[in-house]
This record gives sequence, C-alpha cells and structure tokens, in this order.
Amino acid sequence: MGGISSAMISTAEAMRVIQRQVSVAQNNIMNASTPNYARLDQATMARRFNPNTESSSGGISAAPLLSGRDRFLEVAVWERQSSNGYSEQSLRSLQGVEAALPVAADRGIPAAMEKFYSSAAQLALAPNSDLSRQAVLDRARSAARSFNEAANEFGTLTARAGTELGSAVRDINTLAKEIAAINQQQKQGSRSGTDAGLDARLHEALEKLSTLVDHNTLTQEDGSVVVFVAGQVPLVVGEQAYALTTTVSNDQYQIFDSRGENMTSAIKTGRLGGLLEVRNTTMPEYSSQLDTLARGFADQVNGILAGGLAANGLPPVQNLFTYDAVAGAAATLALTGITTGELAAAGAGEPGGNANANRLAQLSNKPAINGLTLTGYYGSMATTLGRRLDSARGRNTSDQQLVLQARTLRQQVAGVSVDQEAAKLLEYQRGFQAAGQVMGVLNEMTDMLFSIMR
Amino acid sequence: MSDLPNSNLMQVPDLGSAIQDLSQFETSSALLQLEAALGALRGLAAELERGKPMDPMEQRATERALLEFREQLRVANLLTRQGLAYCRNWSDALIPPADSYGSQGQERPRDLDFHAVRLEG
Repeated sequence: MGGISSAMISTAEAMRVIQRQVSVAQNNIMNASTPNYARLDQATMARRFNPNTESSSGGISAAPLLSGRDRFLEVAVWERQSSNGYSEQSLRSLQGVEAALPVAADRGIPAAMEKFYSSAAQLALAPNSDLSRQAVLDRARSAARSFNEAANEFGTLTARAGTELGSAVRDINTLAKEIAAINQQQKQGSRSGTDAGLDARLHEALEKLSTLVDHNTLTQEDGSVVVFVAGQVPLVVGEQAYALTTTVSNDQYQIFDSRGENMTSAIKTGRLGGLLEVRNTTMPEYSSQLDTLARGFADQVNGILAGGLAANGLPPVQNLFTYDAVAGAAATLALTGITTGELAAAGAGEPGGNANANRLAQLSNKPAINGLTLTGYYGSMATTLGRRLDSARGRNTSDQQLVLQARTLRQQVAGVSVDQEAAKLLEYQRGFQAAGQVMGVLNEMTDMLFSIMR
Repeated sequence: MSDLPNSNLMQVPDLGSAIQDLSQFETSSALLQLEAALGALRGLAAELERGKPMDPMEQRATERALLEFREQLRVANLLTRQGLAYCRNWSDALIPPADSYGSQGQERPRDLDFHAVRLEG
C-alpha cells in the first residue's frame, strides 16, 4: 500500500512537471514577438498507479514537448509567398516599362513623331525656307532622342533585372548556408528534444526563401531538414548547402544547380521566377518592338527622302536617319551629317517643289508595320502593356490578400487543440460557404445592373 | 418611367472591408458586409429602373465603379474558394479517413503528403 513517502514522491514529481509547464509558458510569452516562433506545450502523462505497491504511486510525469507548428499551414504560407513574390516582381517590372513608354499625347515617342510630321507639313508650305528645313532637322533629332531615351531606359531596366537576379541568387545561397548551419545545431541537440529557438530560426529562413523561390522540405529523423527548390533540386541536405550559380548565355540569364544542371525553366514562381521572366522574356520582347518601330520610322522617312530632290535640284547624297541594326535601332537612331540644303523637300522631276515634304507629312497616316501606322503600332504596344499591367495588378492584389489569409490562418490556429481546430474549421467552412452563395447573387446583380445601363 | 433624379447612382458598394475580413477568416463579419453590398446593389437597381436616364458622364462613372466592384468581387471570390480549399485540406489532415486504421485499431502511417496538397487560387 502506498504510504506518506510515496505520496510525497508523486507530489514532488507533479510539482516538477508543473514547474516545467510554467517555464514553457514563460518562454512562449517571452517569444511572443519572435519571428516564426511556434508555441510549445508541455504535455503530461499519467504515471503507473497501483495503490497496493510503493513503486507505482501514480501522479503525473512530463511528456515530450509538443510544438504548435502546423506543417500544412506553413506550406500554405510558403506557397502563397512564392506566388506573391512572382506577381510583385512582374508588376514592378511592367510599371518600369510603362514609365518608359508614355501614352500621353504630349510626351515620348508618339509626340516626337507627330511633331516631326508637323514640321514636314510646315516645310511643304515653305519648301525652300532654311528655317523650315532646320525645323525638320531639329524635330528629327528630337524624335531620334526620344527613341534613344526609351531604349536606354529599357537597357537600364534589363540591366537592373540582371543585377537583381544575381542578388536574389546570392540571397538564396546565404539562406541555404543558414539552414545548413541550423541543421548542424539541430543534429547536435536532437537528443535533448525540440529547440523552439532553432525551430523559429529555421522557419524564418524557410519563409524568406519562399518569397525568392518555391521550395519544399522533408524533415529527417535527426530533426534536420532537406530543402528542395524549383521542384526537386536539392539546396540543403543535412549540413551541406548546395549553391546555385548564374550565367548569361545568348543574352539569356540562366540558373544552374550545384551539379551544373540548367534549372532555369523549372523556376516558375517566387521573385526569382518573376525576375527571370522580366530579364529573359518581357524586356527583350519590348526592346525588340521598340527597335521595329525605330527601324520602321527611319526607313520610311529615309525612303521618301531618297526619292526626292535636294535644294540644289539633285537627288540627296545622304539619308536623314542612320542606325545600327545589330546594336539596336532604337538605341542608335541618330541624324546623319545631313545639312538643311540636302533635305529633299521637292519631288522627283519638280526641283524647288514641295511634293516630297507633303509625302513626309502624310506618313503619319500611312500603314508601316503589320498594317498599322507607326503611331498605331506604338499604341498597340502601349495597349498590350496596359492589359498586362492590369492583369499583373489584379494578380498581385489577389496574391497579397491570399498571403494575408494564409498567415492569419496559421496565426489563429497554430497551437490550439484538435477539438478547437475542428470547431474553428466548421465555423470557417460554413462562413465561407454562405459568403460564396451571397457572392453568386452579387455577381448576378452586377450583370443585371450592366444590362439595365446598356 | 418617372423623372426622379439619379442622385445615388454613385453609391456602388465597396467590398474592401469584406476582402479584409475574408483574408482574416472573419467570415461572419464578411458575410454581413456582403449582405449589405447586396442591399446596396438592389437599391441601385431599383433606382436605375425608376429614375430618368443618366447623362453619358454619369453613366461612365457608374460603369467604372461597377467594374471596380466586379474586380473586388473577383478577389473576394478567390479568397472564399481558397478558404474553402484550406478547410477541405485541413479537414483531411485533422480527421484520418476510415481506412487509415489497421485491424487492431492502430493508426497506419498517413499517406497524406502536405507538399502534394495543391491549394486553389
């Protein structure tokens, strides 16, 4: 039969367990604002109890510490962060392109081209006036400069995307080293159980990694994690970090894993995915369109002028515009050393006339690229960009809200008991279902309102 | 049709608060906001049907406001679908299916791989 001494022993053990519970609670409170800290719970377990024996005096003893971290919720946050990293980067880059391609009537390339055509119309009124001829040269120079500025801006954006790519890869490699170091500490202390501090540091690093590139993890028995990025490319295995490297080939930025395998096409999300798309696809696409426009403008104008007569009544000896197609027409568009007298305002066979100046002025309405006028082509570039921007803005708005939602879910649920989780789950499920039904009606109402108004 | 002025045409509801609520799992509050928006849209529809035709400027402004509303509705809908997806996946994670127990009642190792859970959105 259990005596006073066994009762004292079990009470002392219970006191020790309660002391541990208080310490764990204190640690939870002190770490309330530690990034990515997951609360710990000191569970208890019943000790063997047999009232007839001294050695089985019952009471409680401490069970292993339980972490409140929910893997499902962590993965949800990582996925959302990766998606948001991508859309944020895409939006920022497209905003940069938009700034380089203004659509206002009095700014940028379309305004400069229109002013050039107007100066040609003025030349048609006074084809032999030196002032009018000089005005055409001045406007042509301004137009060339507008193309140069836009091309330079694109070049800056492309270079910036390259620099940011390099920096993103460096950040990924730094995080990989940090995770490998945490793994090492985790292995060393794995016998002493959960280290909430290390766990918080690990998850902070993993969360930062998720904004840069999509990843997944596998937890090993010794508590260390294996991290894979962009599918199945190992980044960290145990205490070893496998650095990614970058290279530029055929003006395409490429990312290689530690075995030298090109993994560029596997990187679809995260900031890295966004930067790769900007650097390898978006910017080259817009630069190429800008070059097409610059080439179209220069060739059209040069073509008209070549068919006319200069002030001396002879065919012109040089073009108005020159460019280097290899280095990029928009970036290199410039005036030749043409003089006012060499400008061919007159049509062939009518020295001193204005037919060629008129043709030049009418270029603004003449289809030049894909059946579009030059201004129309620029407009179509701006329209496509506007649509892309709208879509990127919409996606980024959604992504930001989805990140917030995933974080809220993690914060509200992590660490509560399974019963509480089930109750919350049911409450949320019903709430979302009801919200979905009301939104269906709202959608119909909106359609109806549009039809009433039209 | 009467000659009532269309004075409240600009009052297309705003779903900003409902979006915030949905992203923070405040589903009851979100529901109230959505119902209020429904009431406002019904009022707007009734007013449009009763009132005199809008001038083009007013019509464009109202159409723009409705387009913005529709965009907000898209985000709210996305959050709702995502919320339901979380609940579904979460429920699978919380409650083991019947075949996850062996003949002696012991729980078998779970096949559910959280990495494989693809969230909607």
